[in-house]
Amino acid sequence: MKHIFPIILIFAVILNGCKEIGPNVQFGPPSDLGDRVVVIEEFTGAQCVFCPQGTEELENLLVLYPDNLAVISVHTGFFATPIANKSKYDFRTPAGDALNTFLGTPDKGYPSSIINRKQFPGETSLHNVAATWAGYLGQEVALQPKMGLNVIPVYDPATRKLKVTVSGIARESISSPLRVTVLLTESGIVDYQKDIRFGDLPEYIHKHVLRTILSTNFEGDIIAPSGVNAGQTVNYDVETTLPLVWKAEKMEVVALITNGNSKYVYQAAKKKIE
Amino acid sequence: MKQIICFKLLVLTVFSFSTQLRLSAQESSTGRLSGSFQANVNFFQRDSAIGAANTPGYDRQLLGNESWLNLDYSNWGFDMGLRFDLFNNTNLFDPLGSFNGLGIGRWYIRKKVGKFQISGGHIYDQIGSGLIFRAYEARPLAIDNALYGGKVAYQINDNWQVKAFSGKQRNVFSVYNQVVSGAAIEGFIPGNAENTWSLSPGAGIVMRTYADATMNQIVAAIETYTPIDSFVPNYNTRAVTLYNTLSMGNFSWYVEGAYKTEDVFFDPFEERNNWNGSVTQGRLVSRPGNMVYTSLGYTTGGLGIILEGKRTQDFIFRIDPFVNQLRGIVNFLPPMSRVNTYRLTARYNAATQEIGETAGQASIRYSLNDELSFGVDYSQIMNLDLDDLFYREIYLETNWKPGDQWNILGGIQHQWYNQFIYEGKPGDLSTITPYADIQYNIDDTKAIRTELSAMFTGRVGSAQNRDYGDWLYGLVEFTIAPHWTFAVADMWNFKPARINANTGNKERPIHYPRADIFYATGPSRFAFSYIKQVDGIVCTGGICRYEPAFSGFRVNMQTNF
Repeated sequence: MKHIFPIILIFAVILNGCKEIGPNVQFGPPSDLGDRVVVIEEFTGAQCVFCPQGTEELENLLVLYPDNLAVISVHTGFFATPIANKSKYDFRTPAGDALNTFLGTPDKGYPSSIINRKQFPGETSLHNVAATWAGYLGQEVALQPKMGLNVIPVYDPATRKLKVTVSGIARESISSPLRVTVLLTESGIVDYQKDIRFGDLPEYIHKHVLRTILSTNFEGDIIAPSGVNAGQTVNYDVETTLPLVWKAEKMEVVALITNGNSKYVYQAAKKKIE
Repeated sequence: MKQIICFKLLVLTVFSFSTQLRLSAQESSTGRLSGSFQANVNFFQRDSAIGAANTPGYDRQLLGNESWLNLDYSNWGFDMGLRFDLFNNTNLFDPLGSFNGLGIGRWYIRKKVGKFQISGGHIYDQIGSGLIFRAYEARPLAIDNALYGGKVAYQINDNWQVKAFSGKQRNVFSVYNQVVSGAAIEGFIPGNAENTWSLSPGAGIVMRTYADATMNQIVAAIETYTPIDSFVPNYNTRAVTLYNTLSMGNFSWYVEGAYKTEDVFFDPFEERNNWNGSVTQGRLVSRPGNMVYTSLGYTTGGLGIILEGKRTQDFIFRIDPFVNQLRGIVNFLPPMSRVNTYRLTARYNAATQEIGETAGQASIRYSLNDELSFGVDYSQIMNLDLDDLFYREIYLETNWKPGDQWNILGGIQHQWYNQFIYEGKPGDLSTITPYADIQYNIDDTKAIRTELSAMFTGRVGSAQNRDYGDWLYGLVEFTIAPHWTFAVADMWNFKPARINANTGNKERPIHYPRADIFYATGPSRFAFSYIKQVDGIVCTGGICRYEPAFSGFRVNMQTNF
């Protein structure tokens, strides 16, 4: 028993310890943001009861980073099956299913997001749970982009033809091959959505729904097979005709310049079609 | 192909290593090599009628497997071991996804030096009942949160020992960033000369320190919050526990209280004020937590009584606040509902609520004589304010053994199950489940057993949820000892209450058949099964997770050597 009291004393010391110096937290909306544009690919579905909360988180982040964030909602997998006798639309697309294969199936449940197609330290895949999105986005936004990127959509309402021009310039030399991916999203689509809090929502407004990938390859088309030197420009054009059911005025084109090996997104750009 | 070659090389390496060890053991005549092997193979057969579809396994991979080869060796006063883990297109980690990986899943070395015992590598251990720290493995749920670090234990005297450890928690084939350190003292105090009472007290402390990368992530998340929701997080969280078992005559009383200092965790129910003016649910918070658990047991003659109680408040203790489901759990919170084994009585389980619950449980067993015994169990789990019922279970059981050939067990179970809390589905569900388990021993080697049960849902009080509806279950098992067991079973959703997701019509009655062949020889056991299994919450040792429907064949092999 004579050992007990010193041990209890040691426990007490460990418990109290020394006062730590906490991290520096900047309260308030972010400021001094550069032109870095981060892409979040959200994996979601009409039958995913927790996904509306994920969407709310993304909308909140878009308020904070209106010019620095591009959101793509990928309806794919188990939870993206339309709600029988309720859903008007099936948001699943070959493009979404291809991304599911190319980027990996969510391994931590839905909703799940991939941020700049980067596997963050400690994560087991590219996928991240909702609680992490803000933190990872903050980290990525703070980085200086290695590429400047611009996307220009030219849309003719009469013919519904859309031409997208992507132009980029390297701010640093990159030795890896570069790919460009052009994606189309549509917002403002009213349809059923399951919600853990409210049940089936008939008037739910779906946003940033991935409609298609315009690039020839889902993983992006090679535009610089051996990388680029600082100051070197890259250009890419693609054309399509929009189906009648898509509302051009609610559509957005998102362009990504990615590392052809690691999938990492060096820079993104977004622009409304109309 | 590379993986197969890699695996073969590793198997060769492991076996050549084991051969060397055997030779060494033979040379020294003191070494001991032992091990175990387990392999599971799933052949996925798409069946959209039961929801076994739209996952990588059913859509394209068609086959997934996982296996573990464990080797332990003792010699020269050392204990050492390693485990090779193989995961190929497995849905074990995420039932809706797929995971691939292989490598050394565990290694350790342990040595006793006088009164000290020193361990290094992947360590499994716990303090008390695990409220503040438990490093353990639960393969069916893909939990393996071994501490990758070092541990020193010291035997103070015959009755007291102290231990200290430090390391990082295993994360599949890597580790999490955070450092976890802890210490505990445990002892035994004989009460009096007649040994009519004794105490087994203990105390422990655990400290988890956030790595800079994790803290940066936390800060980056908090910086997106409005000022009203923001806070300055701590790098360090400490959890302490005090526990004791009092044994007195026929009584045994265990009590444990734990406290956790302010800790950052994700509270899915906490309001969040957004920059666009909206208010949503779910954000990081920083709050202290506490927990009390007690268990009182009494046995005399044919009577056995166990009473348990538990109160949990903000006792989420994760390795970092961004891991979810069953990942990165530092501690273990004991369940407060009966661990059921029959197919229908085990269909709905009450997983521990880390953020807050108040729970109590009573279990009474009474044997009238050698032939007849009775059992009653009662569990109730509520919120902290005691005004919201999460779970209630009443379980009655009678066991009659008329002679050596017959064993007849039967009873009835009632559950009240808050589906929102446990499954994220609105409303409450109630069940009434009569069951019977009858075994007839034909002779010394042959026996036939049948399990029959029925589940009726949504018929009690306001718990009108019916989920899938009503069920019937039947199983017939024929055993030819010591090698063979054959079983066929059917779980029949005879009165469905769900709407079919594909057709939109009310579900038609669906059968979920199952057939198994088990073969045991010595320490080895093989199983070949055809399974159609409904989705639901699956629990192991009180830890639960959602498992989707399964359709296909399953092959299992286990052996010890």
